Amino acid sequence: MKKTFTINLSGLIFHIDEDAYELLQAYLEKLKQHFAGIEGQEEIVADIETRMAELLQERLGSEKQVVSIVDTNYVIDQLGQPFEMDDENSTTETAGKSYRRTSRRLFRDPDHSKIAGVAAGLAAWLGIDVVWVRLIFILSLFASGAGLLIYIVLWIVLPEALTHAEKLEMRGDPVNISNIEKSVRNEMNEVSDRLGKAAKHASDTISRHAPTSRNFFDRLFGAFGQIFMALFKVFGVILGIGLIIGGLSMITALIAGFIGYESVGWLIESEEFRFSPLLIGDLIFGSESVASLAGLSISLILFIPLILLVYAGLKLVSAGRFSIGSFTLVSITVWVVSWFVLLGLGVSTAMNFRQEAREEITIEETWLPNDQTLFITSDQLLTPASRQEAMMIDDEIILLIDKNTDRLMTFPQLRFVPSSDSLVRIRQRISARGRTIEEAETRKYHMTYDARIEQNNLILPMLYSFPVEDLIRAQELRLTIEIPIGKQVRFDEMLYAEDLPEHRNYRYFKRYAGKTWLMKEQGLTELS
Amino acid sequence: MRKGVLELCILSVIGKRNEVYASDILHELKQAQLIVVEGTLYPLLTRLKNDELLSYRWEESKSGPPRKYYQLTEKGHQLLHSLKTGWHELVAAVEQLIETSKKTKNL
Repeated sequence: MKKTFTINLSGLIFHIDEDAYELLQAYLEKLKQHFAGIEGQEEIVADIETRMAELLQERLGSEKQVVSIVDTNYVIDQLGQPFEMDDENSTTETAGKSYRRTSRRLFRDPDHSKIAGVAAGLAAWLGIDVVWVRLIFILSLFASGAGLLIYIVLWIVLPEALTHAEKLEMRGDPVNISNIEKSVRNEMNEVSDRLGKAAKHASDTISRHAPTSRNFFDRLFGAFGQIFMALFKVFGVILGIGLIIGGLSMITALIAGFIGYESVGWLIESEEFRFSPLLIGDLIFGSESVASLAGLSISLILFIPLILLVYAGLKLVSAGRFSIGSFTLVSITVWVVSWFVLLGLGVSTAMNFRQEAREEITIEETWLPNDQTLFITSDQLLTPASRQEAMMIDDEIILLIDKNTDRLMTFPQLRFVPSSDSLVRIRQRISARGRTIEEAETRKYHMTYDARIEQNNLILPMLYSFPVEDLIRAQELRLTIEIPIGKQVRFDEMLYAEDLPEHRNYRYFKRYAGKTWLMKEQGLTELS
Repeated sequence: MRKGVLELCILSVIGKRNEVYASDILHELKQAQLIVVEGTLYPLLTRLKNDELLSYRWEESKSGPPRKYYQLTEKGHQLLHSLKTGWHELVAAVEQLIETSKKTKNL
């Protein structure tokens, strides 16, 4: 059993086998491409379609119902391959056009393939040895698998070079700067020719003085139309070059940005472990696959418009001769789908931040004798030797991870204010978010921090922590330390070390560490 | 060498019968073994039409798709005439050349 299609050729209905249909469609597509740019191309193709209908009708007679692949091959043999149909006169008249047939097209090369022939096809197109292309693909796998993505996209988008003509086309004139320049120059010559002709045409028309007829205006507008078209073409080429250069440089900048992000650093130099931005994604989206999906969507959303810019530029420069199947359609579809995916992920993730649990408590309240200096220190100092690992963006710590306890850690926000009475007081405000208020509450209770006062020491751990399973859900801890006015405060010099990484809540200590301060109404003032 | 000959043939096929459709032209050209694949004809017809040497009208067909019937325009007739003259002169010249070279050989 075979699937059949119904087609309409010049008003006649035919039933056709699926394979025969594909063959016929490919043939018609080739014809269209072949005659693209020639005056009356649509008419030529329509005439050939009419002839096809006649030939098929003759061949099928009255008893046969369905067009088979044999019938289709017969028709194609009768009509001939596109390159056999060249109208010699028209090709010699516009010699500039012949390069179209020899210019290279990007195909997948099935004859030299290792996987799908993408690398071999690219190598043929670039005119270099396939080894280099494969090497670049393999190396780019280490750049977070960008090469794999590109390979898959090319695999989907590029047609396979099946026929002899396509294989020749694959190895035609190299697409390089001098050839692009040549094609631009041809285009310019053509344009200036046409400009000259149009101008002559216009002056002829005007000098003929035929103001009564509609004809006059037709011709006049025709002439201006031609001049306009010619100018339009020149602008098109310039615009095209602009698009290619602009698009490529933006792609390069974007890739550089991604790679820069990828090497987002580590806390400790001796630490071999590196965090990728994906890990932050994991902690926001909740699972690695969802985070990867979000990353992929973002990349596609950013890159597709740029790639389309370059593609449009190439199309403009080559006057529509550089063309990859339904590239634009596929790209735009993928782009739109990416937006939907990202939007969906965004909405479902935002739902996880819907409810907030917040609590403000006083955790310590002590009276200290007036003559005693309050000493601020920590029981948990950051040192380059600590076993913690940090997630950073641009030298700024986002989170630290304690691999032993599987807890995420970060710095609390600190504030020193004058107390309204004679007590030293530690107030702590914690908050976290979740899908439900219960979820948010649970997260809030998971957050641990142990600030305390022991004798005249105020002990502030550097970090508060919460379990990795809680993910990043806007956990926040603010500490307000109230100190009676007139009290002297000394900060441990160990609280800040120069060679440790940056965090705004850590940098806070830079001002205070190793110095003695006096609490006044306006806040802490340094004692000289 | 073939350049222009095919045009002459097409124009004369149309001129001879006054009005023909593409398949008739194909039939004659194929019989005379002047073209190999049918597809060659269509770009030529379109170009001749664009050069205002031909005109056509549509006619419904009982048995198949609607047909384009081609006619020579005034300009087409003129060109056909001058092409024919040129062709005869060329043939005569070549003929003469071949004949004379034969004679010289025979001497």
